[in-house]
Amino acid sequence: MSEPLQSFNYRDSPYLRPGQNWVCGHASEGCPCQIGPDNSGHCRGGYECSPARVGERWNCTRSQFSGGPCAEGPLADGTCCRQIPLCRPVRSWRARRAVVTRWVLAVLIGLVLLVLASGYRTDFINPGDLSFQHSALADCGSCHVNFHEGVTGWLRAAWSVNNAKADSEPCIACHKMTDRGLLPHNLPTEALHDSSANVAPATVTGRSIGVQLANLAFGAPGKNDESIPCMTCHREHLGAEGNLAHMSADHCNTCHQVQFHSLASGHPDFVGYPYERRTNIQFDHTSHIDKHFRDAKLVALAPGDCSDCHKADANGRLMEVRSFEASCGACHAEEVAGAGRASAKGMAILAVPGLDIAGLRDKGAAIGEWPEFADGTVPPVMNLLLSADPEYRAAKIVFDSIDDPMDLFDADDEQLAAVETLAWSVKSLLFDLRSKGVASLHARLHGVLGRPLLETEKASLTALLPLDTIAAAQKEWFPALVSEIHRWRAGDAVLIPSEKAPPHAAAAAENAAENNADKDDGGDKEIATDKDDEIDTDKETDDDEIATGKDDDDDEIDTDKDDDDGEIATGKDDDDDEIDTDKDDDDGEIATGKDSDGDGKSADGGNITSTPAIAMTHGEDWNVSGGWYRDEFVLRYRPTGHADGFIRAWLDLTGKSGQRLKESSQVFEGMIGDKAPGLCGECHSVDKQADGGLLVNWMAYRPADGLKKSVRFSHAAHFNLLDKGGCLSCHARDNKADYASAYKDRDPATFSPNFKPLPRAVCAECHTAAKAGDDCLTCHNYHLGVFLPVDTHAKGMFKEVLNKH
Amino acid sequence: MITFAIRRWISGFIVLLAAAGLLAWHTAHNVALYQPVFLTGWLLLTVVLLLTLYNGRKKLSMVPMGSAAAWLQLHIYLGLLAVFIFALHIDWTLPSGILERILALFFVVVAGSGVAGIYISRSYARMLTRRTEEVVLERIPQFIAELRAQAEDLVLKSAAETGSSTIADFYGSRLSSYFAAPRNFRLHLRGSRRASFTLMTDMDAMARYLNDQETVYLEKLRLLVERKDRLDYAHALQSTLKAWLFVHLPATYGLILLALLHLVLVYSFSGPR
Repeated sequence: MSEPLQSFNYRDSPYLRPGQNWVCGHASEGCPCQIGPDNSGHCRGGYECSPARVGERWNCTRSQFSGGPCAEGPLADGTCCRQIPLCRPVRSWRARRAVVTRWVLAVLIGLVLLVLASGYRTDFINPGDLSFQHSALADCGSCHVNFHEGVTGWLRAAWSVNNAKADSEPCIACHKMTDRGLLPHNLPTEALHDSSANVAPATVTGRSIGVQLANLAFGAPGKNDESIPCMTCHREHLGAEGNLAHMSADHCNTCHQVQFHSLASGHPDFVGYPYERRTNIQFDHTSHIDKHFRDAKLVALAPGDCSDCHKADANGRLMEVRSFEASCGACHAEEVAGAGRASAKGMAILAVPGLDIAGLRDKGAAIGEWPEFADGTVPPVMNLLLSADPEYRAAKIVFDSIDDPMDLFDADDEQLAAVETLAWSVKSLLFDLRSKGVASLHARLHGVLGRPLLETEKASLTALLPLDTIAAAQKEWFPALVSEIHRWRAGDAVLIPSEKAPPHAAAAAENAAENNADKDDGGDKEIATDKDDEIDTDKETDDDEIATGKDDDDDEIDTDKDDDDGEIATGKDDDDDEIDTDKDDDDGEIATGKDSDGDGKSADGGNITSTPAIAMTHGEDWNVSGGWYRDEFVLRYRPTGHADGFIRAWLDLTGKSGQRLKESSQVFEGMIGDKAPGLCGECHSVDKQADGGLLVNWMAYRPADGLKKSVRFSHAAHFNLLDKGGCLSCHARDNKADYASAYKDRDPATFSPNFKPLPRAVCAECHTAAKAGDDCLTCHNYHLGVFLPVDTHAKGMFKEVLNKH
Repeated sequence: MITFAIRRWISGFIVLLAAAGLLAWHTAHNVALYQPVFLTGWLLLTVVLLLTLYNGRKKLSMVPMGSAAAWLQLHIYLGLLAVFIFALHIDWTLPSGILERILALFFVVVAGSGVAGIYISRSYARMLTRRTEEVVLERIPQFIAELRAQAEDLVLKSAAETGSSTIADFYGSRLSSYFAAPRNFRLHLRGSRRASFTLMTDMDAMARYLNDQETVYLEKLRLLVERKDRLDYAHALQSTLKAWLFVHLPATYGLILLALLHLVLVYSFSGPR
């Protein structure tokens, strides 16, 4: 081994200062000076020593490290004889490192500032690409409310505590999450608490380690009402394929009070799933499958399997019920239209209530002319229309207290007054209808409901009630209606005509006046003013009709004669004018084609030949496809078949208002009853609403657009799993269920389904972590409620265009 | 007496324990939907700042804040923990934002240079101890100058006494540049002794042409070459021991700077729940 390069001792080992920034430039030559550079890196040069004066002599003081005192010694003037040549000091290792660090920082700061001030700022700070759903959002300010406030604004925002919530606002606005957007499950606090209180227990208790840790760190789940910013669960900027909706089962479990491991282990048993509420359409599977479909007469019409009546919707999720025509119509279409119905096929809308005319005449009741043979009651719809008048309402109460309105001999004054009010209300209704048309009905409904009718309601509620039907009814029921109403409204006491008085004297004059009115301007004005210039001038001409032989204006050229149109139509001599006039107009013969009166003449005066008679039909048989018709003293409406707009409109209207209006409720109950024409109530269930109203479920269940329920299930995705039992593989029948009775209370939650609840094990068989997955979101939605698609950004564009111009 | 190995095991165990605790805490945050990135982010920044204090501790050697060795141990194991926190923070995936990627790159450079530094410190120190005597890096130029002076003096004497220029020629052609400065940096870093072997071989080849007197000078010159080779070796390794900090330290401060920018941006545009 050679001798060491250096010896470490106080003489041979000079002290180095590596912490100093500058090193002597001669160090690399092996002969650094002992002084070294100053702190600024300047060479301090000079001499190898500073000679010391001892007496008269100058002694060399050179350091031992530099070789000790030199042989030459100082000069005479005391200057060292060995001058150190100047050097260029160099940085020490440490100083060089500091310089590099400062340079790196300076360059980095410069670059950052440069980029932040440039157009690449957004790209630079963008933490990653957006998901494909949001990829079209080019402006960061669309989501980050502080983005456009600049760098200083960002610094301010960094100190804000509500950034996460503030940045959630654009999400809520775009996704129409309403004011409950940030609440857990978008449920009101009370609803959330109710759910927590009523939640089913776990079948096996247990928590994953993650949930245990979370509960340990943040406490057990409680009634947490705090709002949750969107970004708590939805992580953006994870790239186009980033899953915005990823949630693990642990994430759900940590908040839920009932905690468990998985669907197979611990998930609460299904309670009544999927039969959470009764079906909108009351269809008893048990009675149909076990009874009706086995009927020999119906076997050919019975469905072959479930898919004949049900089909998957466009998303494959819900098994929808096929249309009435496809699923029910084969057996029930004619029945709905009234076929086989023993009673009237049409429902009574307007009627002349039966009154004891003889008794009223004796008591001097002023109700004017009243059909003696009317024996009906006030139909509910008519009652509702009349109930706009408070006097009628009061009178109706008294009238209803009368045991038998057909026997009024013992009626007291109050009851007589009530009868009069009712009678004039009925007449006024008919008069208004005759003079003002269906608009008068709309006005009355407006009065009853306290709101104007919608245009669609107007059309549906009157079902195109024809003028001729009303006109004919008025002429038959109250021939002198116009004059009587005028007199009554003028304050006259319009007594019941005596039995001896020619019943139609006033009516004849009225018909003539009315015909004249019909001829010119419609008569309304004339009725109002009681002026009929044609009556005065007696200049009504029916020349055209005479020429053509047609009675275009229905005024009957011979106005002195009774209008027998109705009689011709019905084949009945309703007005008994043949008895009075002793003339035989052969109406019946026209109708029947027979010479029933034996006069050997037909209606046209010719001899009856063997020509086949026309088989005339009338009333409800005429309106076999539905519509209005008069049945003696009742005006009826026969449903046009399934989905009749008239009945639906009345049920919808009166269902909503039924709670506050007794008359409205009577209409509803009259129309929804099992035996009511149309048989709506047979299949369409009625739901009691929170406000007390009643809602008829016209359609089978269809989720509202954008509806997110707690459980989601795709039927189509499971079709290939079904065995030979088909749908019954999961939907096992429950033949003992009392299905129909559940509908009586009108509570949609009351349900006794024809099928047994789905056992959890059926789902858990496949839905494990290893097979079909058992994350909560596989079957559940987090956001509950109706969430419509994202708004377009073109909102208000028309107004913008207008403003520009 | 706690040996180095035992100390390493204990420190490693503590780091593992801390990592497990951190993972549990992270999981709790994640499961409870409390955005664990904010937890790991703050933790990472704190750890990085703590690690940076080590550099300050070296500058403040006069202040009694524990031994430098203890600080180094803390620095090493806290650094390893920081790598784990970083992995949790980025969710074990490469960030996709430009700033985030640069930031991640800086962290990787800092952590990578740190790990490399540990390796270098551990292995080079052993290698230096085995092959060279203890020399201060700053003094190596001085020693080289001294060896150069000795070699030149030897060559001049040889020429004067033997009347032969064989050694002088050899020195002029092969050794003058060799003694001028530290040589064969890369070869020494690789642990190769090829350069020295080549010189020795050349000297052996020349020896057959020398007389006895010249051979004596050649042997002395050979010793000087061997010493220069050891100095070069020490210079290469010690320079590297100092050079990795030229990456580690600037990257650390760059990392802190970008981390602060990242922090401001994160809080400006999202913020924790």
